[in-house]
Amino acid sequence: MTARTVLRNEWRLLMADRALRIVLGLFAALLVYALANGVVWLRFQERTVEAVESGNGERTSALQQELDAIANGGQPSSPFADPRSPLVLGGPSGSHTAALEPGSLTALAVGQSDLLPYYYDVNIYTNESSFQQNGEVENPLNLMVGRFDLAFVVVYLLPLLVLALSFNVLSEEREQGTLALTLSQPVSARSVVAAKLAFRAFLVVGMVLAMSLLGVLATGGFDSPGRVLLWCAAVVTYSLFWFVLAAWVNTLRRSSAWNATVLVGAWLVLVVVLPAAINIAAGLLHPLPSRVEMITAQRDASNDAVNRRSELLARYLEDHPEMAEGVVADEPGLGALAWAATDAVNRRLEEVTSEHDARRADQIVLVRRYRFLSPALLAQDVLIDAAGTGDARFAHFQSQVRAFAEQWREFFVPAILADEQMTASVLPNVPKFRLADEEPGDATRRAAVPLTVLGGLVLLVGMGAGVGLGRVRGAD
Amino acid sequence: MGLRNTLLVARRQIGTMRDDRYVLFLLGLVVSLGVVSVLGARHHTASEAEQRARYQSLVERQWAEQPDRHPHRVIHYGFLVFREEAPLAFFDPGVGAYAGTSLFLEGHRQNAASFGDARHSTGMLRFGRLTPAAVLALLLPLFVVAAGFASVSGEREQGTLRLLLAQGATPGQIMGGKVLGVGAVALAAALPIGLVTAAFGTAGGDGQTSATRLLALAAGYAAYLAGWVLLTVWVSSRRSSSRAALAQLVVIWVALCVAAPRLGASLATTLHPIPSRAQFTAQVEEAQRGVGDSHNPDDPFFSALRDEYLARYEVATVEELPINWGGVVSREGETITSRIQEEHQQELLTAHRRQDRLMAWLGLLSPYLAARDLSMAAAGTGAEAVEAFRAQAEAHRYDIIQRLNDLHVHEIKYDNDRAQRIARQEWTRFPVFQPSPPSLRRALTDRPHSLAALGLWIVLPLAGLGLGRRRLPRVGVDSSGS
Repeated sequence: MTARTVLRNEWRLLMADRALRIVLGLFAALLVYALANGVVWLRFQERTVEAVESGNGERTSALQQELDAIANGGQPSSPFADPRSPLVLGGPSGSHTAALEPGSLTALAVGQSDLLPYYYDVNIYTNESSFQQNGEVENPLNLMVGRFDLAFVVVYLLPLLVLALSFNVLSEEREQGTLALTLSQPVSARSVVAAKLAFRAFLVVGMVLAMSLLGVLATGGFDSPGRVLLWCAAVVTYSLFWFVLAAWVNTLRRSSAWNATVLVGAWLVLVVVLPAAINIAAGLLHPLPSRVEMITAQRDASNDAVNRRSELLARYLEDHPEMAEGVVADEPGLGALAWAATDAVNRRLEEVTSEHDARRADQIVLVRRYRFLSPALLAQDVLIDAAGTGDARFAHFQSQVRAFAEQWREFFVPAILADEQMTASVLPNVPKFRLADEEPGDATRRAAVPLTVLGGLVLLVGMGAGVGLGRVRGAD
Repeated sequence: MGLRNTLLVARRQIGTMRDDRYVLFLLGLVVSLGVVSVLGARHHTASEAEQRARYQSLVERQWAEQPDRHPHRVIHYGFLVFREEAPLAFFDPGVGAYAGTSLFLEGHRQNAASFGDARHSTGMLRFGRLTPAAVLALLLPLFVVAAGFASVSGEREQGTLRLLLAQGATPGQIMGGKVLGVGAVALAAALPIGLVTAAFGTAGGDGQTSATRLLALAAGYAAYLAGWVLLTVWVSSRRSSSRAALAQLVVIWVALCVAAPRLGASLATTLHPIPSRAQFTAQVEEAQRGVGDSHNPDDPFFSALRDEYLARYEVATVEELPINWGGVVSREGETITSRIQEEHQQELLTAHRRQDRLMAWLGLLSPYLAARDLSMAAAGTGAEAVEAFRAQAEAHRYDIIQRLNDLHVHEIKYDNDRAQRIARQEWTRFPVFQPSPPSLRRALTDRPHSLAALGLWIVLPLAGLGLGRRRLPRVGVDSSGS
């Protein structure tokens, strides 16, 4: 009996089972729906990014027009919004929106991209508290539930399909009495089960990968082949884990019903209970510091700063001689005084934030260790990171926005301090945000450990199954 | 006689489950997960609530201790409010982690509440937290399935079903007994969790309200779990093999409890899209530009207003007005911008409510959605609680800003406006923010779909059991059991 015979036989058997045909059809339909959902979300993000970027252009050209008009003897539209003032040109009305292009595989995994901000308005008043705002106006209920995307289908539903296809891969033969018959042929139980599972794996993984690649193709995600490969690797490894688990349970020589119960139990524990329990445990053992503290620190700082503006300005000029060109410290303009106060508040906020962020980073390192308790958590982590919708890419974006805000200040603050007026000629030189996206290797590097652990798990359980199958005799 | 038979069958069912080590193990697991989740959530909520209360009083003190200030300066100084979690948030945190926790109230704009816990934790949170509500709504049904999938089909497989029938028990009595038996085990799992919750829930805060809310929660979950018990026995009675019954029940559970929420949310987002924040802000700004610019002396709206005031006080220039014109402009500007913002906010909320309503309709298909909805309502952690906080904070904001503008109008002279100050004693006379969460009655009456869905969830399997009872002896005998 060759592997081909097994495969052909399997195909016939699977297709003869009406329930299984329905389940496979349903799974395919869910895959299509999940992908469609992801594409809708991707398009929405793309449209938003496009809109905020064209908003940048519109603001600039409106300022350009107004500045030109003023240069030709016109009046500013409002005495409080004179674009010649660097506080206005570099302030909210002249702000530049820094946006993060959606990750190349966003259509496959929405991940954290519905929760974390992907654009910030940057102006001279951008500070740490700006990163706290910028919440989307999304329905909180939808955020809580999460999206129905391919990553969800892969992490939650795919294991159930795998288990439905293979919980009785060996036990059924035993129950129907065909095991002795099969093993009387010159073939080992190991190769029979391997062939059967390989066929099923080919079917299931093939469906998911085909749908993923279709999604990538439709949304132009092939720009980063590394991410696509990473995604595929995670899908394959995670599916294999469930296949070898089913094979191993089958070698325990129990009934099909027992296998089904145990495997569904394993799914429940690894995919539903453990991650939820870990979240509780992590919250208890490593509570994240409250953000409330930050908000009040800002108020304290701004109270204090307004009263000591002149003193702060003097100190500022001492600390930033490069910004101080042409500033007469004896009779500073109102703008310079206000800026000194703003800067003092920003510094205080940065202190509190960096303290807070350091504590938070420590906690997150600890919390992330718990990932290794559940293959579902590992898989989810790699999948969304590969898609470019994980926490890491957003943190990278935020740090770039922070640097850009600094660049923005460096451009406008000297003029504020010197109480200078600006003209249309500076507009082309105003800093523009250019995202230096993560290197393709970054995600791969982060995924290396979880993916290796997942692969190791597959090998371990697979070897256990192999050993168990080696002991199977037809007379069992 | 009839009742006795039913009770005998129930006792027999309980006996079978008590002898099943697997069921006992699962019972222990569910109960301990439930109790641990209550303790864990309780701890988290308590420390967070303590922190928010501490900072809220700090902010209030800072407000009262302001020095002599110009009222417009105070408008920009603003005020900070923290959203207090409902007393039962430890049981069901609802949308709390995904809605803002603090709101900065200042003049000229409505800030969005800045984000809560969810944005500061890792992606792991998206797997959901093991809250007491999740244990009851998600895991307990599965326990009911595991305990009861073989309740009728097992008797059939062992041939004892025919024996029971031969001894004079009617199919109705057998099924009734099975429902009672499985129900008793479900109660044994739910009761400890409920008691621990009740112990903590009534301990702190307003005992009266908490007790009513706890009762509502108990009633909701009792109905939800009763539906699962009925469904389990029904499916078991229709299947010739326990294996088929288990497979079918697990599929139903996955579809209703795991897939349906996400499918529903995705459907809601697709059918009732919500703008991005950028788009929303742009719309508000656009609308505000269209109305009037209070800083522009030639703006048609404000020049009309000026003429009206000049005519009313019968003077020629704003300098001659007995009140401060700058304050009037600020007050009118605030009225307009607030109205526009609120209009857009309401439009946005309408979209949110449309999405929620769609989910409520889907609750008729998935009782899990209905139970979760009612649970959040009873715990006071639903979307309406978040919205009530926002609306009340906005009302408070508008109130204090306009009081400050009135001070500006009446207490500050137009001449040399900026140099004047209001004495510090004034700040202590401002109202304190006292949010009042929506009442339980309103939260529940706003959810007719979910209440109906939960009723349907009991009635449907009950009807199935009733109609199917004549067929009971024939399943697996005259057909292949489907």
